[in-house]
Amino acid sequence: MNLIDIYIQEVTRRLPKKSRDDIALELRSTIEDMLPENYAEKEVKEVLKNLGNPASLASEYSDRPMYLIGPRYFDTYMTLLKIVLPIVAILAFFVIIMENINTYSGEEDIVNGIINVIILILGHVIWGMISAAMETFFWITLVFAILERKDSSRSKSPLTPSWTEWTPDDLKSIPLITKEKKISTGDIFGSLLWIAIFISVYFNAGHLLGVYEKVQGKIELITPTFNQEVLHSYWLIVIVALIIEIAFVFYKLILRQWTSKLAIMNTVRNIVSTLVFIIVISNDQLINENIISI
Amino acid sequence: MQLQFELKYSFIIILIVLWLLLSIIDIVQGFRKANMK
Repeated sequence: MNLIDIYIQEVTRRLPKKSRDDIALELRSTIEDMLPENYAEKEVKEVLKNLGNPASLASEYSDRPMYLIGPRYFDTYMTLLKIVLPIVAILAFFVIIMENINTYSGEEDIVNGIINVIILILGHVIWGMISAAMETFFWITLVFAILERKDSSRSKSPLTPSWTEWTPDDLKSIPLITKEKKISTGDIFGSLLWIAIFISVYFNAGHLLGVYEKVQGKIELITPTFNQEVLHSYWLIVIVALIIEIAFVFYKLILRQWTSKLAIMNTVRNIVSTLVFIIVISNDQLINENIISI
Repeated sequence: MQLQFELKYSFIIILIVLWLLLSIIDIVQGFRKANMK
């Protein structure tokens, strides 16, 4: 008897308060129906074993899933995470680099400079990327967990990315990507890395690029190649070109294959960056006069 | 002074030519990949 009471308690404590008494009664009568007239503990155990884990039974009674995200939403959830998380991490990477460029004092001593850059990357960038990704992960998971619980349809078949039931017509909207046309993830991340290196070097060229000499045992930048004020004066067009570059990379990330439209955009991107490059480099004051006389 | 002037401009011209060359290669590659069957 005691085992039955405990079993009923274990089931009902997982249910909403208002339905506990009714379900307790129903469950008790079910158990009693399953038992012979003069039953022993062995028979009770047998019946309870057949009814299964109280948590599973409670889940059946309350019609609530025993998982955070079920088969219906899991594929959409994973697809969204795979698209959004890298974007968020990359955006965080750029935002933190941009924020730190202004605060980076620019050590004249190259060794200290490199150590500072490593600390900057480890301390700010990696942590910033992880925390941005974690936050996004949390909110996406929360939204899907709510969706899972609010979905009134009984269907367990996975949703398509367009949030409807799958039909063979869905295949018509998916392009067949050939190996030659495919844009690899390495290509996308390579482009983003190159943009990040360019931003770091462009806005720090005054204390990174130039002639280094050993002064009292320390390697120091004696003559910078470029005039940092001139580089900074073109910040607006450089930022515009960089935004176009970043937008192009994200467009590649979405398309995942080379198309005529992408090739035209690539041409525009190249023309813009070439024009900006020519405008910046043709400035008379850009290259430090002292570097030529060395 | 004249030598410095020439050095500076030849350096700039080399950089521009290199940049142009890389851009053209990139544009051509883009169209080549887009038109592949």
